[in-house]
Amino acid sequence: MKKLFILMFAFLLVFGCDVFNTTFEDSEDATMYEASTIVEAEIPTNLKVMSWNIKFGGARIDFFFDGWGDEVLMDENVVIENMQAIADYINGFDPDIVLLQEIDIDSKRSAYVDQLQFLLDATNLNYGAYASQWKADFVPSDGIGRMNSGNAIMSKWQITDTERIALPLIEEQDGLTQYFYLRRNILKTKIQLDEEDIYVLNIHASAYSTDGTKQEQINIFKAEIDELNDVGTHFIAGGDFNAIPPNSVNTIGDNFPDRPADLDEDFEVEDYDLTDMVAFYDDYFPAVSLENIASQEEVDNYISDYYTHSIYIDLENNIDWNRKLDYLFTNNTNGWIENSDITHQNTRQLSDHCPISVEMEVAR
Amino acid sequence: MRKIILIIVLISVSFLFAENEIWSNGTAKTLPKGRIEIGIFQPFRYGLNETTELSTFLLADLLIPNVTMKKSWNSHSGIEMTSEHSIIYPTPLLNLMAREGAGGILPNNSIIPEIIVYENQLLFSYQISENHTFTPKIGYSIAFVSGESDFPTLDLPLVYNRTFVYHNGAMFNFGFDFCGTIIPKLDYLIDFDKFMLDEDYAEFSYEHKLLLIWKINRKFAISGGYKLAYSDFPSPNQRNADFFPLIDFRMGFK
Repeated sequence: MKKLFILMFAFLLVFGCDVFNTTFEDSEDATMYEASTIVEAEIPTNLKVMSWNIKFGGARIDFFFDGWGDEVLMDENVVIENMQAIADYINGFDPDIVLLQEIDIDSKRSAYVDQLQFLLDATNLNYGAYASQWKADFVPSDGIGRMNSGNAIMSKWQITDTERIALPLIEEQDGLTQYFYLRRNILKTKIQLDEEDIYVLNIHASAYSTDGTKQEQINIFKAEIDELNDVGTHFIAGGDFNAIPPNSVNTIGDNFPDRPADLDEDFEVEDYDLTDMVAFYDDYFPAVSLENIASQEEVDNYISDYYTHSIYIDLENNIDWNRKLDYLFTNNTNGWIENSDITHQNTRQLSDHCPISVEMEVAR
Repeated sequence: MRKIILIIVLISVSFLFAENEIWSNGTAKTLPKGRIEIGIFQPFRYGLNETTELSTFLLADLLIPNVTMKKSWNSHSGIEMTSEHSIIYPTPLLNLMAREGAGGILPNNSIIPEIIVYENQLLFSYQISENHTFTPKIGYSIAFVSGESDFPTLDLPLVYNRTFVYHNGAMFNFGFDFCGTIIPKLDYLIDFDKFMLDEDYAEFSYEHKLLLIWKINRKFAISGGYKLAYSDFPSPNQRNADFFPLIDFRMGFK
């Protein structure tokens, strides 16, 4: 039966040309958003920047791809409740710019709630830009159905320019899987502050590639910010890199405590490569220094105040945040304000990633 | 070039020798007793007697057993009345669609109940001229659901409106058909249907079809045309209108 489905869809794809509307141009404009009520905001002395993979408002529901459960779809009231909790947390911290990953705007799994519009309307952030990384009129697999999920940037100030830059697809996938699979991208935006424009770039790199695609995606992201740096433009660059810091102690995918016993091979976590993030730490200012990371990480105990991700959390059995995948960098020579970084580990029930934040002095 | 000429000759010959048999269409007429019709996308139809026709989608029967009885009643004032009554059991198909991986149209953790759908429709055919018939129709569907039920709607054109009854228990529909003969051997069918879903997102959905039916002879017919479907879906961004080309090869016996 599976072969029949594959043949059927292969036929449709060959003769129908993107029947399910899944593809993108190499470069195209991102989608602009605006809050229903604009809250005027002064440019502060210290700019608060946050990055958060919000897991499409799925909080700690155990989805089938996690290996810990079998959930696929959420009811609208569950999505709204989870998104409100995320909005409440954002409001409590009051960031000026937020980089979001895994935000759904039109997906059956999240009851078609436009989560970016929801967050803009429920927070003090006024403007948004969205770049889809998984779009299909219908995904005929696992009951997923309609999908539109991606990266977003929210800002208190107008976003004046946007670009969705396509990243390479996972080459080892067969054509049919690749057609319906995630299409990673860089969301590049320009935000007008008082005296200068600042570029904000957001990435969510591949999680399940074993063929070097993730490294290639990260390298393209690095090249993109290098280009801005070369012309003297300030940037904030971050997101979920699905890569660990160069001085991490734990690298073996199978050894992480949140790895379920019967994880599907499609979602197998590769062993991490310590070189993935080296160039970023070498060339730019990280929100969390390698020294700080080293000061926390101890052999095999999977405990650190800087970890940002865990598929599953069970504190009674010592399963907590157990790796750092989320980062923020800048080339601003003033850099981040010292010790202003926060890894918000108290958000365990809101997503499988916790937000990270840092403050930057704004040029006057 | 020779192929084109050959095709034109074959078409001409078929027109010349074809019999002007009335194939089943959108009217209240039933098939003559003993006649059988079948198409790739059409149901298997059988004229049980002069007033009763039975039909079923043979290819689908293993996964979604279905049977329809069409009964012709007395005509009054030139209006011919027919009733259609269908019983459909979609549970096996829904169970098959609820699976992991490719082909998983529904989530694997769906709970599919026993569902029997009972559809009823009245058709009133009025001969507006020698070759043209107008057939208004009105119907309703009821789904009898037994056992725990927890599975999502199927948010696809043509499917959403027909399967929503599995969730809300009842649906009404009405519409009309125009059909007739354009030239000997070439029939047409134009229909319009409105489905009343009584649901937050999509109170109504609409379908329109145009078919040309080339009756080669009593035994073979080819139909081609299109179907337009319009519906609201739970997603506010889902395209409302969809276009589908239609082609079918039909065979008739007796």
